[in-house]
This record gives sequence, C-alpha cells and structure tokens, in this order.
Amino acid sequence: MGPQHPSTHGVFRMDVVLDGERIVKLKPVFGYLHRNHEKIAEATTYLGSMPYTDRLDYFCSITNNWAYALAVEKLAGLNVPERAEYIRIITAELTRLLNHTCLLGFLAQDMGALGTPLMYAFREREKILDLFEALTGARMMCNYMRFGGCRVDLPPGWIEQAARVVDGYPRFLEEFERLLTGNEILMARTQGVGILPAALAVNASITGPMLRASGVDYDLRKTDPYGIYGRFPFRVPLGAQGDVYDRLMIRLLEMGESIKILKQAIQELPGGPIVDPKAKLRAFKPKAGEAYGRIEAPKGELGFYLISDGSANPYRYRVRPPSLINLTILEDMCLGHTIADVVVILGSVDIVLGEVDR
Amino acid sequence: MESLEEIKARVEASVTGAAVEIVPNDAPCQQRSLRVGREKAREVAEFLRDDPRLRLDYASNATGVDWPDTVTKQKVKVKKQINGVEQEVEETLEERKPGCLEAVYHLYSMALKQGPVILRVRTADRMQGVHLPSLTPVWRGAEFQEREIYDLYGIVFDGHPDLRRLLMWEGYRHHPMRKDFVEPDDYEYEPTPHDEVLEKAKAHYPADGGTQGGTA
Repeated sequence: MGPQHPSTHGVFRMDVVLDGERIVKLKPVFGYLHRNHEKIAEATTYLGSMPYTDRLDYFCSITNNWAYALAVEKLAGLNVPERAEYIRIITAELTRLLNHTCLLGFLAQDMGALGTPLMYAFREREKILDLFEALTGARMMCNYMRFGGCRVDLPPGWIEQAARVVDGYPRFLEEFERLLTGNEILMARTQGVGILPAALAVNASITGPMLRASGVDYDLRKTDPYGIYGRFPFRVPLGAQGDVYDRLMIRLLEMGESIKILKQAIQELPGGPIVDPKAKLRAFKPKAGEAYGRIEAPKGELGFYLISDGSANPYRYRVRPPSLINLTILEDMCLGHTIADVVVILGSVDIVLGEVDR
Repeated sequence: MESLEEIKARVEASVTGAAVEIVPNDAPCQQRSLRVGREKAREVAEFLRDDPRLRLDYASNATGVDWPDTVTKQKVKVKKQINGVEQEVEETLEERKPGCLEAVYHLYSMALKQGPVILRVRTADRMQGVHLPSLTPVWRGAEFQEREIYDLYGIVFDGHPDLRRLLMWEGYRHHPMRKDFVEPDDYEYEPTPHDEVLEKAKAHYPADGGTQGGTA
C-alpha cells in the first residue's frame, strides 16, 4: 500500500494483510530514500555535516541544525551567547508553527478535504518561509546554526516582520479551528481511531506530540531544558484518549503555546554577539570523547550522538530520528481498523521520509 | 539521580555475573556509560527499567559502533647472534588487539524525569561472534533501531521479534557502516533480487530454445 500521504511520494510503502476491509497485519517498508547520511558524516568535518542535517526533516531544517549544534557544543564545551539563544528559540518555534500547520493541512487532505485546508496552511507557511529566506538565504535548507551560535545576525527589519507574522497567527489558528475541529466528518474520522495507550507509547520510545496526545507529560523543553527554555512560561498540552483527534488537537494547542514563547522572545531579544568567540570554524577538532544531545523537534525527540577520536571528522555520528521510531507502533494502532483509517493514522504520526531513511 | 558508581554497585548486587564496568568520557559533558557483559545484558536492562529509584522506562537511542582491530607497533631491542657475534638489534613487535562491535543504548526515565544512563554491550569479535541479546523485549522502542544496527553493522540480536534488514534490501551482503566497508565502484553491479527473478524465469523457456515450433 502507498504512496498516499503527501510526504511519502514513492518512498514509503506498507505491506498490508486484509480481511475484507480490516487490517490484519501491517509492516512498513523503509529504505527508498536511504543515502547513509551517517556514513557521509563520518567522512566529512563536523561543520561539513551541518547542511546535511537540513535534509533530514526538510520541513524543519532549523531544529535539525539546533540538535546537531547542541550535540557538538556538548562535545566541545562551547557556550552560546544570549542573543544567539534568543534567535535560536525564535527560529525554532517558528519552525514548530510551520510544521504543525502543514501537518494539519496534510491530515485534512488525507481525510478527503482536498485542497482548501492545505492551501490555507501553505499560505501561513509561506509567511514563515519568507522570514527564513530573508534571514538565511534559503526557504527550506536554512543551514543556519553554527557551533556556539548562529551563522548571521538578523537583517534590519526582520524582527518587526517576525512580530507581525506572529501577531497575525492566532487569527489564522482560530479560523482553522472553526473550519476543522467542530466538523462532523472530521470527528467521525478521527475520534476513537488509532488509539495509542500511554504505557505502550512510553515503552516504544514514542516522543513529541504523539506521546503527549496519549497523556504522558514529557516535553524536553520542560523536563530537560536546553537553550534558555527555562525562562519561558508555557504549558504542555496533554491528550486524554490518545486517538487521532487528540493528536490533531495537541498540535493546535502547541501552536498556541509556541506563539506565547515567540511573543516573549521577540520582546526580550537582547543585543550582543551571535557566536561564541572560542568556537573555531576551520580546523575544529574536539577532544576525544562522546556526547548525546537531544531537543524537542516538532516531530519528537531529535538526538545526535557523536563520538570524537580527536580528529577533524566525527568517529561516530548518529541521528536519533523521531519519525522512524514513532512508526514502531504503526501496526498496533492500525490493527482492526479499515484501510481508509490507515491513511489517517499514518498522517497523524507526522513523518518525513528524509529523516526516516536518512 | 544516583551516581553511576552507586548504580553499578546496585546492578552488581542484584544481577550476579553482570560484569559491569564504567566507561570514562573526557568530553566536557562527561556522559559516562556502563558497559555490561553480553550474557547478562537482558537482566541488567530489566533491572534498570524496573528499579523503583531508576525507572529507566524510555530507551531514547540505540545505536551501533564499530571498533576495528587495532595494531600497535613497538620497537624492542633484542640480542641476537649475527655471524657468530652477539649484537643488539632493533625489532618491531606488532601487537594486534581484536576489535568488536558495540551496541549503545541511551536510557532515560519518563516517570521520574531523569537520565541519561548509557548502556553499552560488546560483541566477542567482528566476524563470527557478533551475537548480542536483543533488548527489544525490554524496550519496544529498540525494535527498529536494532534492526538498523543489524542492517548497517551486522550485529545479530538474539530474541528480536522481527530481525530483518531495515534500510538496505534483502539479499544485500554487506554492512555499510562498518569502518572497513569498501564502497562498490559500480552500484549497478551489486547482486539484487532481480537476478534471482531472472534465474527463476529460465524455467519458463523451452529446453531446446524453442526451435521445435509448437505453442509456448
């Protein structure tokens, strides 16, 4: 079965055994987009891998950059200046907004609402991508973070433009919510579909909105704060049923919290340098050792595990891909449901194959 | 959270023959890890998950590392009889340390919001003794990751419910993340299931090449 989800165009399929319309067995098949990112990274310098991380989850290149930068900063003991921390949070939360917005559009498309909700979502996404383009020169492959800071400072007028986008966002969310969440068809298609019990979610290492929709309070921004997330008061929305509807609502609520964080960060943004003067771009050789850094990416916990042998290339470079690991329980969620439900359940997991296959 | 020394002591007390060792880490983040013997790895994992003070219910990351054989050369002065005269001669001694494959698990606790405890298990060697006990029965989250390690490193996880290649195709013979992997010159040359299909297809051709006429 496949491809049917917009992000799986030809690179993901499922072997499904059916009894009439009911799913009896379902095995996802991977590897169509595999290019051994980890091997490539072992053959290049630490900095050389930064643009490759953009291509993992190509919707959220900035959070990928951040996870990698965080792991290297742990490995080499670098500090990040205040202003860079704020810029990181602003860009990362914008990334979360655009990821969740698109996911809701895709999910509506999976349910048969062709076009309109997705185009509404893409309209908002373009506004954020315009900001990224102005800042980094690229809409999607931003390659923005550097070890110990960021690559370039904000251009003039950027922060005002960002403030306008953020201020306009709640209006879009309200509109989207009115369009979708009370919709009878949407409720019939999502409520009670693809239930994921909390105990199974924890045991199967499910992370991100998927986990929180099952009612487990675990958000790395709260429990293992990286950057300066400790300074921002925000709530962690939790689901009760763990079905597709909860996963959808969690994303809507998380966007509301992201807007809160963004408003505060834009207000408080300090001046100063944007990169640690100790951080070297060329001939960067961390001492032998290892580090595991992880962040709360929009799709779940994105981790980088690095082993250094003291040379300019990492000895071991591992990406912990949330998209792949969140698919572990795809079969458990689909058993007993119909083929049409599989499409919706897969959509609610939120995968990007660049990250699944690496 | 407890220190790694305390965890080590408690693991040793409750799992006999666990062979726990603390692996130092010189990086500034100082994430040290516990290396356990492969025979008791499953028991240690269950202890770490179920212990009320640790509750490491969440295996965040599972991955492989390849440590190839290392050869260290040493120059030694040896006395030798050369042409009947005793002379001191320099000789190079090679010391070959056998390599191994290693599985690394990063464990956290969602219940108690603590971690990480890093668990490492080593195989006997890189050729035949590549078996490790699977920790998927303890943490389901390791299922796809152990499949990936099997695929890319060639560690065979005993007790894994569904140990197949994850990213490379069935029938591929190499383990590309190993350090001694040589990239093929021509990827098209790699044997693929397609060859088997061609072999099977021969059964459908007539034995004499179709010269006798008749219907196909």
